[in-house]
Amino acid sequence: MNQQVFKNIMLFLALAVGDIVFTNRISLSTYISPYIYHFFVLQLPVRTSRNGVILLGFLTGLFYDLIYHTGGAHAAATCFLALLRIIILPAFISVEDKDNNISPGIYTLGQGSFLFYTFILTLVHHILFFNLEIFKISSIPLTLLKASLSSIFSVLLIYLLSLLFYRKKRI
Amino acid sequence: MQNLFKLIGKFGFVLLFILLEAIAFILVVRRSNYHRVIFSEATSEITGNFFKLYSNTRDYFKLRAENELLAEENARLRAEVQYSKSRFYTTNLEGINPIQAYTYIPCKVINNSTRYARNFFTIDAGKMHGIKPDMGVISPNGIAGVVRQVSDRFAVCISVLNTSFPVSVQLRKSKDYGSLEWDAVSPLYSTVKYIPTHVAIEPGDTLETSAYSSIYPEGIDVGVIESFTINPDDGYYIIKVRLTTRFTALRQVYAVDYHFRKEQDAIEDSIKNERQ
Repeated sequence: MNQQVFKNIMLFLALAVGDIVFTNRISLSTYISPYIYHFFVLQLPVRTSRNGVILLGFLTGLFYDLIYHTGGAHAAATCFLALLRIIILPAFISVEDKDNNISPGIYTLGQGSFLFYTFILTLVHHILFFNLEIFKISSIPLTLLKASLSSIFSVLLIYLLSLLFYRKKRI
Repeated sequence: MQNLFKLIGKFGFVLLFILLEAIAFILVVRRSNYHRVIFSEATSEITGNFFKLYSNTRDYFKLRAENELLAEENARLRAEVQYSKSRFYTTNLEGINPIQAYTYIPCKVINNSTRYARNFFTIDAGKMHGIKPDMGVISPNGIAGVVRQVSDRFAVCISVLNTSFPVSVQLRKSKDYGSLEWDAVSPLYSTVKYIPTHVAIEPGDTLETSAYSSIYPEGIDVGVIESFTINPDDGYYIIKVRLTTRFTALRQVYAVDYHFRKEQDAIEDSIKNERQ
């Protein structure tokens, strides 16, 4: 248990560093602005309490709001992501997964499911975030395009990082 | 009653979600007052120290580019000093007491973003170094932002790449003025509005800070005209401007202390009262 908490804290910090030194600095195009930090909420162990997931989602977002001065846009988007995770995650895991308290990842869910799960949640997070960030109705078409393109890159980054840092567990 | 508790036990997370989401929305809407509410000086000091550590390590890898930039600026300033010296010799200065209007405080950008619609950056100087809110911040090649919140050792500045920070600018050759308003599209470009169409402009013309702003001294570089169209609604130009400051590599900056700001603000306010 403690080891799991420690792992999660390390992942949170690693993602924060990754965001500050990498995703904050890359500017591929105006319409591509990827994020990876929300992976922290995506991969929380499946038996994390629902209140816990919501609260951690909110706090994660708030952390990035504080360092980038974005009001509450990150917090609102990540908190919503947490709620959506609670709703859709059961569709991706079996009873056995739940008993083992797995952490949703590339090897635990399987590549296809993992990509699908990550993409849906990332897309919703990005749409909400970009709109709250600009906060202008006239920008909605632009933010939808931006959110879709960015989501592809965010998922790609999360996928590559998962391949690099997660190892297949022997059963 | 027992059922109610059961229900709350089961769906309590929805209530928690609604509560937290409401807090987040309030923070989004009250963004303009945000720094006063949440971004206390304590958090500013903590994040500031962290970013300073990070930027110090990064500095080593950027020294060469930074040196070149500063050398370039040095050369430009040297030329200007020469020019103003020659002017002093030909002007009769008798009876005039030269007073310095601006002081520049050198500082470094330790945290910066360009990917949001409202971008901010943090500098490594604060109250202790004489930084005050509303001071202009310029880079060696143009304007950068304005100080918003100050703690002892750090200050958070609104970037020119911020949709809620318009800057008063003018054309260098004709002094016609307009408003620089970022459109959140690219960190390299911004938009200038409200220059009337009877003014002749062409791509390549330089825009500089106007004399009407009490944030920046007049004549600081802003950008170069890239292209322009005419807005059919109001008949003003919409000018696409390539910014001279490289916001994606913002390092050395100067905070501008305008010594007569209080006096200027006071006298302008007194007229405002009379109008009402």
